[in-house]
Amino acid sequence: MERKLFLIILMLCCSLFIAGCWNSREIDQLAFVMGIGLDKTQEGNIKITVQVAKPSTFSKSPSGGSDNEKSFWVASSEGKTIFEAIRNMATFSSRRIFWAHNKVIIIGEKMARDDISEILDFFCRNPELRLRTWIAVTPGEAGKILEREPGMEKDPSSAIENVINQTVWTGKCYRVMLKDFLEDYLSTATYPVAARIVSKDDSSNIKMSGSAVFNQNKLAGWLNEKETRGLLWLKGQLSSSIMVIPCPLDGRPLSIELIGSKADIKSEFDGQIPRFTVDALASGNLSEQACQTDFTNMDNLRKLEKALASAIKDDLESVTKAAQTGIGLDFPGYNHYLHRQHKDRWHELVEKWPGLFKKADIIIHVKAMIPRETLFARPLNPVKHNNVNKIRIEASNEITR
Amino acid sequence: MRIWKKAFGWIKPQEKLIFEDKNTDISSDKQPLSANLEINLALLGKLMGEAQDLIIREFSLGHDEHRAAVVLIDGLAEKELVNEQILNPLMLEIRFEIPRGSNELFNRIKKYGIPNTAIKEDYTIDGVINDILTGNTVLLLEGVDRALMISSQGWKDRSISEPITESVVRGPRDGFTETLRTNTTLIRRRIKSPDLRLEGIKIGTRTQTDVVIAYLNGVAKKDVVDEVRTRLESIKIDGVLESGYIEEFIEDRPLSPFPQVERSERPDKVASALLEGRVAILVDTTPFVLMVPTVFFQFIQASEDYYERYYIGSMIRVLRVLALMVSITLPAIYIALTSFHHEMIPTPLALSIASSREAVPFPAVGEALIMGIFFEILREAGIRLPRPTGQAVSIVGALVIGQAAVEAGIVSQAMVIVVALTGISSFAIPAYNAAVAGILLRVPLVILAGFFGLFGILTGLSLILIHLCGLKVFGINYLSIVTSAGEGEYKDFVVRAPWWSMFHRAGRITGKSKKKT
Amino acid sequence: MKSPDKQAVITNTQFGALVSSILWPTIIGYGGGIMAREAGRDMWIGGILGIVNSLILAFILIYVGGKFPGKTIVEYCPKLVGFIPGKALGLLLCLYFLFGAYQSVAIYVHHMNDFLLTETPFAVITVIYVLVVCYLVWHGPEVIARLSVIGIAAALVFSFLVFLATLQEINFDRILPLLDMGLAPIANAGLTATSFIGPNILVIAMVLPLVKVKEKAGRPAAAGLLLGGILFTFYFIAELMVMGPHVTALMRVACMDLVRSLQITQYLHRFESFMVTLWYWSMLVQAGILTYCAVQAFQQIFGLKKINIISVVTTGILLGGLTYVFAFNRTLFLNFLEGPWDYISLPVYTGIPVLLLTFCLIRRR
Repeated sequence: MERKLFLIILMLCCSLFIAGCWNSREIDQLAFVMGIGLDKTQEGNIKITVQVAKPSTFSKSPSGGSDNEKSFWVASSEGKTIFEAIRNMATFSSRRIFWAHNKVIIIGEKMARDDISEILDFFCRNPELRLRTWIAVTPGEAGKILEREPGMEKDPSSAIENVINQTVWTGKCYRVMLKDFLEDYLSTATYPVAARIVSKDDSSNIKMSGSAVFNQNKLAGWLNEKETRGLLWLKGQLSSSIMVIPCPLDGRPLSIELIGSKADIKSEFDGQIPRFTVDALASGNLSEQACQTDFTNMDNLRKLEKALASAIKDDLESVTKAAQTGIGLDFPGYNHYLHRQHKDRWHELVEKWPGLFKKADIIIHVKAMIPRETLFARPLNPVKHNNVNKIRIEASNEITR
Repeated sequence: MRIWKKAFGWIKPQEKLIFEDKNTDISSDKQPLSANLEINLALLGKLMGEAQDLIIREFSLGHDEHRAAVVLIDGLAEKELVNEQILNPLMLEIRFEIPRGSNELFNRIKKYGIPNTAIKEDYTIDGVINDILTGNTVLLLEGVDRALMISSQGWKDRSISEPITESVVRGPRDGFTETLRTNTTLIRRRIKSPDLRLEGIKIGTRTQTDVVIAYLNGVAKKDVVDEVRTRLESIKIDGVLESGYIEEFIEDRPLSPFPQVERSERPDKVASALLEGRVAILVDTTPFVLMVPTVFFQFIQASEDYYERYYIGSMIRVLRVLALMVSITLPAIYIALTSFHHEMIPTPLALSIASSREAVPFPAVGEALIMGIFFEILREAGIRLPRPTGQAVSIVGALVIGQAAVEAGIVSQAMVIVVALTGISSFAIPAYNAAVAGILLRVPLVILAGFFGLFGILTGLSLILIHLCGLKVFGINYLSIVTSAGEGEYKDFVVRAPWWSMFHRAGRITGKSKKKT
Repeated sequence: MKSPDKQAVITNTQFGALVSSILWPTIIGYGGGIMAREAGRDMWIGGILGIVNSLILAFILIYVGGKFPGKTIVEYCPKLVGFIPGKALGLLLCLYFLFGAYQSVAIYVHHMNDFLLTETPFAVITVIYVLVVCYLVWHGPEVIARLSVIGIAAALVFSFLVFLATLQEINFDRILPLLDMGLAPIANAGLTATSFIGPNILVIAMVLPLVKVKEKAGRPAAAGLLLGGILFTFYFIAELMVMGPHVTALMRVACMDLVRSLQITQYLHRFESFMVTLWYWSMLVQAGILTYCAVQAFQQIFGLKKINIISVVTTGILLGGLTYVFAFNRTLFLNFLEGPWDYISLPVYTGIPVLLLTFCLIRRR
């Protein structure tokens, strides 16, 4: 009986197969979209630009495409909705547009100023798209960015993806994935921030610089690189950055590589007005110095640490200022601390928060440490006498004088 | 329902497969021997069809005129031995008074006349013929209605050599031969215990093949031994030429693609199976010994795992598990990924696969089936051909055709890699029959993957796993170590624990998890 | 040795594996999203509530079942509460199991049809899957229990992979502050969790007579429940940390969206299909055992012993039909799970054990 049942199953399955294979798509019939650009046209339509990789140019075999062939193809189409624009693309694309390998979504400023909720909706709803796609906003037209031929990579989107990955080293850009952007968008009193991408007019390169702040679904304003670094501090996402500060003794520039950064934010109530205390703790390596100061001297080092602390404080204050007076939104997310630390009060004043935030008192303390001077034990200057120690003392005396 | 039976009547449990043929049953009509030598010899000659290799030597005992005859088959019986131990003492060196009565003479000859270790009497002509055909020599006396069978087997057989299909780097180099006695000797040499039981049974109405059930009394589960005996006794077939005949009769599920009986031509492997409490079935005329009950995981174990240090043994087993999975599922997974779930492939790889497939006209499923079939043909060609030619074929097949097919754009490079990996993985499974089961499963999985992608693979795999979970071999679950393990059984699973830590016998086989004694 | 009529036996380890592997797959599928909508960032506490609740119920069922050795809940119900009410309870249980099974089938089919095979007809996937489930049910509880060992092994690999992938995403800010919205939403989420687990808890009462060492059945059941509970609670926490409470609440099938937003290094990304492969075995075991329980309950109401092919086929057709009618429309299915199911499930999975325990204590058995 069991065997008969098995045979019945087998026969039924076979008959199902005859009906066809619905989803099967050979991999060579797909157009792999690597990057998407979204713009708003003059007429108010959505213009979607896709950058598609040409597989034949990625082949290692000699029969693959010639070296001069461009390895990507940029196409754009328009429609009233994103989906319509995408379907319109099928009217001229020889292969099925396939989104699952998309790396970046670039939004043009015009589109961003108008409404981005449709973008979020479409790209999160569609199972083909991944939620780890990077989101960036460009001040100009998004489609243009995707046409820039990169220097190292074969296609612009991979280049953009790598550049975004590299921003952890500079701390000058707030990078965000679709899923995190969406979470910020959905949360109350949180304002999503995305990366800002600009194309330099003189070269073919693109540059990640600063960030874009959204008031829910509309672009509210831009942050410059300094403010962005402050934002990264407050969000606890700064992993590494270079601080260029003037030497506290002779004013010539020094570079300090930040290796550790931590900001503790405490909230309390001063009557109705919340007060935040930001305690930032930084540690950095002295990576480069143009001045001749000898920082093996602890006093000098203390001065340098103070200078670093004030530079960081400057960053933090600039972003706080931008949030409170410039853009006027709590995009650094101070309210999360209030929420976490004063759960009951928060639920009462959540409605009033946008106004309340502008009045909030924010105090910033920064402490900086420079535990390492990389490989050197003394500044790089030619030795004049035999007695090195003496020189060092004289040199430091000279400067302190 | 009748149509149903007609269409699928062949799928029946084994009991019904057995045909019954009364005429071939020898034991039913036993013709007694006559007291007249002439009649006996004439009858023998007639029954044997005046066979060309039948030797009937008539002679007189000593100086007396009492007539006698020896009957033997040339080639099966050792003539030297017959001369030395039968003809010489009876014709030349007879040492006793020849009595009057024929029966008295027969008894005396039996007692004093034949210096041979194994003699016995028989009363029927069929018994005599049976013995002659097994290589014994029959002594017939005038006036006696009994015959004396003298063991004189001595045919040409292969000497003990290293088994080709199961060679090892480390381990004993002897292998079973085609002679049952040699094989039992090889086992006896390894297990010098009176508990080693060898039970004989004859199977095959015409071939009368000797089959021996070997087990360790007190270790093997009694139910299993009884079941093996019952199943062997119920076999009704005219001839058994290889143990494979018996394997098909004693399987629990004849329809399953999975092998349910382990076979080996290595005496050390059989000895270790006996020590585990399993039952071995030795069949005359074949070096392959069957071992039951077998569970799935035994097919990926090789005897070497136990001889090399346990790290090596464990590592190789892990590799074999991997090879098993790869050999069953890799082409299906490749198809599911390249035609359904493109998002999972890392982008550079996806692009390079896409570029290698650009000129290929077939869908990935077709490609996989074509390549898979040709791979198996190549492999089969390599096995059957003489060794030097076989190598040439595989080189031509693998290198030339593979390269040319890729260049011509018939298949993609990625597919060649996948098929080659699959093929190589299937060679890494020690048991040939299990590896072939892998091929049987691979093809449906490829087809399912071609239609439904991952869903198809999952459906196929779940049917296979449900079947495996439901399979019982001699009352033992086929997947028993995987899905249920007794005390200490995990020590001999994918990882083999060192010998000094394996105290227990597998409870699933012996029925009780007791310490090794 | 060929004795198919012999009573199936499940070892205690297999019993534990069975209990844990049927606990987690559906609740991470639809439960995550529903609970996030109810309790936000505290949904994982709801999950823990669900486990605690089900542990208590499981112990009641094992205690009552211990008084009637060798009998399933459907068989001893008439003895405890009287013939007609007992049979009615049995029928209720049968329907409850059938509903649990259909939800399990529907959730699997939704995963397939909404994420991996978007253009394949719903009916085709349903039919094939129901056939597989029926094939499994036909093999009986012993095979299902053995499959569950494989299922739980796959589940552990699954959780390990999720753990690996979430390591780089750990963000405690998203689950803090605790008890943000107070206790009521958490209780609500706990109710949802238990209503998802409900049919699986009652499976214990159906499978108990098959367990090898019945006196020690409590321990594997508890271990299984805890393991299953840890699996889904961990998954909830991962969902909250990676996606955040709002995105989780946005999604219909949150678990797939979690996998969509994970990657293990940059080489293994979008491994939904792989994770589905690991998750599937628990799902199959769940659908199998629930269908088996429905079939068995139905047969035991009428005193039939051996699994009948006709009952299996009928149940299969019912399963497929229910899935097609109630789950083809995803909104209808989701609304049913979010709303009425809680109130249908609660009286059954809590009411029946408590009722039986009361009768058991009153009649001093």
